[in-house]
Amino acid sequence: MLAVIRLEALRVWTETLRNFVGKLGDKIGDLLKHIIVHDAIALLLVKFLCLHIQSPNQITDIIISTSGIKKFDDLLNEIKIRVMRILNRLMVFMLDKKAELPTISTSKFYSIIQSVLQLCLTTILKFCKSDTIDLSKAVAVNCLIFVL
Amino acid sequence: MRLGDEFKTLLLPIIVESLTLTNSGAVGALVALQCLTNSTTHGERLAKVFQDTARNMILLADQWIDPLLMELSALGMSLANSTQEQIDLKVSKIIERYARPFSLVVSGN
Repeated sequence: MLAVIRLEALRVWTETLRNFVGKLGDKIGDLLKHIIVHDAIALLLVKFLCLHIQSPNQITDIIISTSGIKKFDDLLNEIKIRVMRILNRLMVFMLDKKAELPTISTSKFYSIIQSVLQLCLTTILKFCKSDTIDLSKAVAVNCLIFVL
Repeated sequence: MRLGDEFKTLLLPIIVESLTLTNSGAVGALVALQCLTNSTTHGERLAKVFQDTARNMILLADQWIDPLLMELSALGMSLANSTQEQIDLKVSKIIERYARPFSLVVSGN
């Protein structure tokens, strides 16, 4: 079973890319353009978001891994959280700099914005509506219900 | 040039070259690259490191992603008719055998 090792390696990969995105994005300027030009990275990140284990517990068409195999879910979701952070940072940059840098609007990263946002919305809706998910436990908050 | 910067400058070509390896050496190079990006704050320098390593990073992830998709699919099928207890047992064995090989790498949130 090499899947665990490959997942761990992908975790390091996404963390490394997050370091690049975070630190290049920290500086005033447009250093993130060096990342935006790589269409292959955009495609890889979308593939990472689609990683899941087929299981009766897995909610279909969502980003979050809910297979019920806790250790794999944790590992997969850790990778996906990093991917979402990377995409979030890059999206803010692209929307901010689109007028100044014409290469942005022709990049793969820019073209996947709509699909990723759609996927995020579907994920939130399906995850929150799922009967099998204890939402307060899943988001690690205590819900207080006030009855007026 | 400070000693740390000199060390990173010397290390970078080795990392770039090692990322092309097909064995676990590539993973080692990736871990080294992660450490290097953890400790580098100079934007322009980091941009240069990214330009030097991006192509090999892409090739590496490309090599891993398709076999991983197949392995996860196979795992899902092998666990399909198992009870929760059987699944927990099987997964514990897998995790024990390949317990977090890169857990020594410090990662942020």
